[in-house]
Amino acid sequence: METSSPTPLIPAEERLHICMAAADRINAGMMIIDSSGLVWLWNRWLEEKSGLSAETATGKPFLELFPELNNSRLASAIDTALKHGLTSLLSQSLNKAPLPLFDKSSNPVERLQQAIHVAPVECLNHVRFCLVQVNDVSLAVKRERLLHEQAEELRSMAYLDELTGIPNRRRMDQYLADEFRRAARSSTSLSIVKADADYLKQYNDTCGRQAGDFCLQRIANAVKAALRRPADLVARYGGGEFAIVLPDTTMDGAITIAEDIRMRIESLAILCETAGIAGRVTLSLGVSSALPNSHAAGHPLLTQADAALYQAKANGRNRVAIYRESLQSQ
Amino acid sequence: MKLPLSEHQQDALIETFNIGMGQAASCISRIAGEEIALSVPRLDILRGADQADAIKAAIRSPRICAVSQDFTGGLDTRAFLIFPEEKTQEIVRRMIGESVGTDELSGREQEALGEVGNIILNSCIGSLSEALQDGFHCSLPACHMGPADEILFANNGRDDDLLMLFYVDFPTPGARIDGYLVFLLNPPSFNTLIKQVDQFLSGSHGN
Repeated sequence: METSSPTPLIPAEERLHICMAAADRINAGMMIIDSSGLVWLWNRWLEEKSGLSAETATGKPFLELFPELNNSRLASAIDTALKHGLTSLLSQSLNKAPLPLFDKSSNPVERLQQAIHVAPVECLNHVRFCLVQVNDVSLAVKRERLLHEQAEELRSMAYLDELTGIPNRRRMDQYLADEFRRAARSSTSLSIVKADADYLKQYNDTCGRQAGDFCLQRIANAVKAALRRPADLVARYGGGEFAIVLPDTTMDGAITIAEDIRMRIESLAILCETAGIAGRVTLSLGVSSALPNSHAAGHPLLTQADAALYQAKANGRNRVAIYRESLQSQ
Repeated sequence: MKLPLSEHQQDALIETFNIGMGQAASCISRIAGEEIALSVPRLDILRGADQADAIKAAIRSPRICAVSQDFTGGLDTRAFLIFPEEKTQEIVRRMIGESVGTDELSGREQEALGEVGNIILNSCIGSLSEALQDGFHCSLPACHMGPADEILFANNGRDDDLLMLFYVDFPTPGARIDGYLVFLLNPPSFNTLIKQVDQFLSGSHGN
């Protein structure tokens, strides 16, 4: 019995030609890699964005064309597709522009932001190839970055202490956690200074609440002025308490900064008759420092700085104390 | 409920998945720029009509964030990587290296989470495929957020479907995050899996 084919038969050679022409028309990067890692197809989009002609790219090992991608996530995704037949997704957020692709007309310096799909392609006789599809997501990334910045601006308002205008405790907790992780990753020191205004309660009682508020604002400004690096952060912790996060700072460096702050507050000469030593509002400071380890559970840095601050108060106020292991036993 | 797996079979599966987890961990560590250890210490098999209740009891968080992928080939399964919804921010933050802070995950963050799921699920299935010498195909990862039973049983699975639940240890500097790997299997797929595990066991023992 004769059956008619629903579609006219296209000769295999012509079909191949159509597919190749379509690959060159697609508005995305398309490459095919064989099981030995050789590039079989390199479409026009990739030619344009990489500056590498199909003639140069095809027949070459992919990793020879891009040696910096050895042991990369992209290389392992290609391997997974070829070996196990599994599909992978490389997001732009976790893979910062793996391929050196550029839009020469709009930005010839910065790499295109890429979202990459890596999929196996099974051919006749179970021969497996790998299809790597690259999409330019630069615009979407730019849009999202803009939204993120706006959200950040709104959020920063919720992270400020109303009275002093410096970051509040919530912001400081989050910042400390971020910096702790960063220090653990880069194996650098992280230091904390906890500070507390001496005799603030008496000052408030004698000079009035308004004067007390003004005094806190002056202290906050003076501490802020003492911090010169953009990564240093001072936050109002509550009452007359402040916390200062000093990334990439050793204990010695933190002591110098703490001592500088102590002198600055002393020289503000906020006078009040019952406000303690020499009738001035002063600051007691506790310093702790650590070389964070990513496996440590929680971070005792703040508690340690607190213990040192307690020691500074106990030793007579208007001074800097540092946390030592032996402090705990005192 | 008694597990329809012997201790040997369970150990073999846990070991196979831990090999995959090790590979996934080194890949994720490279991306995050810090050492991240991943392991699956325990496995439960849930089956029958009480799956939904059992899953609620096992996954204590009422709302979850899941990355799913469908695998076909050696056996057919829908696989999920699951984290409690409230911990998702922390994982994303750790991977992208910045604070997020909003309740909703942005597109960028969902993609990142999807990729983490993709890496872990592919590594586990890859390791299973190597052990069982069987090939798989898979779909692209999809991200879901919501109540566990709605996400896991969205396809109205049959009562005799089985659910393999692996407990994932995802240690972070703050606290440990409990994650889960879930594989939904119909009875023929589950039987295939057991048969292949047995073949693997007898092969590896040199019998």
